[in-house]
Amino acid sequence: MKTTSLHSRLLRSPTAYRVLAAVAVLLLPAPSTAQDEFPPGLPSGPAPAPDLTGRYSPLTCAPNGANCPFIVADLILTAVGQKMWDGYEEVIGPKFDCAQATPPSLFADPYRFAIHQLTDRVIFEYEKDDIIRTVWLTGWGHPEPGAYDASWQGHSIGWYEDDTLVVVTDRYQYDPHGIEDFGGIPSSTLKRVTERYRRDGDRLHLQALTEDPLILEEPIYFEFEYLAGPEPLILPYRCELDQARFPTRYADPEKGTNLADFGGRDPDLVPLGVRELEQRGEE
Amino acid sequence: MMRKRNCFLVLACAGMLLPAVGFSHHAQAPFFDQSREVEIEGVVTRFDFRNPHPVLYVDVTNETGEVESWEIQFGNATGLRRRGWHRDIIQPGERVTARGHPSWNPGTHGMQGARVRKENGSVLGAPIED
Repeated sequence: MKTTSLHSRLLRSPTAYRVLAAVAVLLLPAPSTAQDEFPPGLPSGPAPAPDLTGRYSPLTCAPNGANCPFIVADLILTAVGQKMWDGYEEVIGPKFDCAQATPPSLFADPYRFAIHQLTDRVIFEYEKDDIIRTVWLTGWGHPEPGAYDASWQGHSIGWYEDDTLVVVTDRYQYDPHGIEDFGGIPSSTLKRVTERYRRDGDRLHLQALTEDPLILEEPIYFEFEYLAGPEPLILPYRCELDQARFPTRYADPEKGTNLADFGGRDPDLVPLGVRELEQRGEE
Repeated sequence: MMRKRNCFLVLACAGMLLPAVGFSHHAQAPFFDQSREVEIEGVVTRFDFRNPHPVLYVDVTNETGEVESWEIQFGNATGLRRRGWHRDIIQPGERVTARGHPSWNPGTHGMQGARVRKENGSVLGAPIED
């Protein structure tokens, strides 16, 4: 007697094919609402609620555009942070060798970015410095970073809380202008940034908290808004090494490049916390 | 005749130009004298439209008849591209005037924050600091 397995019979039956096809369709993820499949080849799936996928242009700090993203004088630096800021030479900035901008300065940069929501991760794609930040969504078994995995953009995990995407990033490398990249307030390897993104119509709202116990006596908090739009990102940025270091040739070697020597240490810019420490004789 | 026109003090205090808020770009004050503006007139030799800072090269004949090669630095190419700029927006051989902050380093002829005007009177672009 010829025996046929259930599996073989199913494969031979047109009806079975139709059933299998129907089941397969049901098992397939719903079409993504993402505007882009990025990057190609990665697992994509239904954009989980909330749908934040889109392209965004920076608007201003919320709610009224004031103190955007923060007033340097309001930062409360540690004594170490203050000394590092005081001694900062602009020419030492790694941005002159195409080092990427980092949070929190990156959040207020005048460049567009895109959010791509995938099944197990969220990707932030920036015009600035060709930055790609991958946020690993919790619950998917993503391995923890190793001891040597510090980087400019750090290691990000994320999760959804109702209508909000929460992103927590640590494992940053030491960054000479990782807190504030105009005057050179550094960040240490203990920098930790928490982002909360919520979309309301065409507005994307960000709450950003930056902590760094070696540099900041108190965390920096600000809110920022972005406008969603169809305009494509202008990519690639393609920072050119020779072009990036170009301005440094214009510094007077005898003057140096410390902002303190160019009017950049106005008393009003001294962080209040350090001033208070000085009054208590602790500086 | 192409020549460096003049050099004059426009603001007494460089510190007044320094922002009190956090910006996401590098400080210009250590590289360019924010207290002065100079104006040059010359002929474009090259436009290097690359990130992070496009540079316009302009040959200027000074008062003594020597040719100085000036380098005018702009903001980032991405932002300029969004405003309609492209690598062919200005061509070698075009005559321009430019006014901006001069470089500090003696012997260099750098300029930043410049407004560049073509011979037909059109302005290449307003200063862009981003």
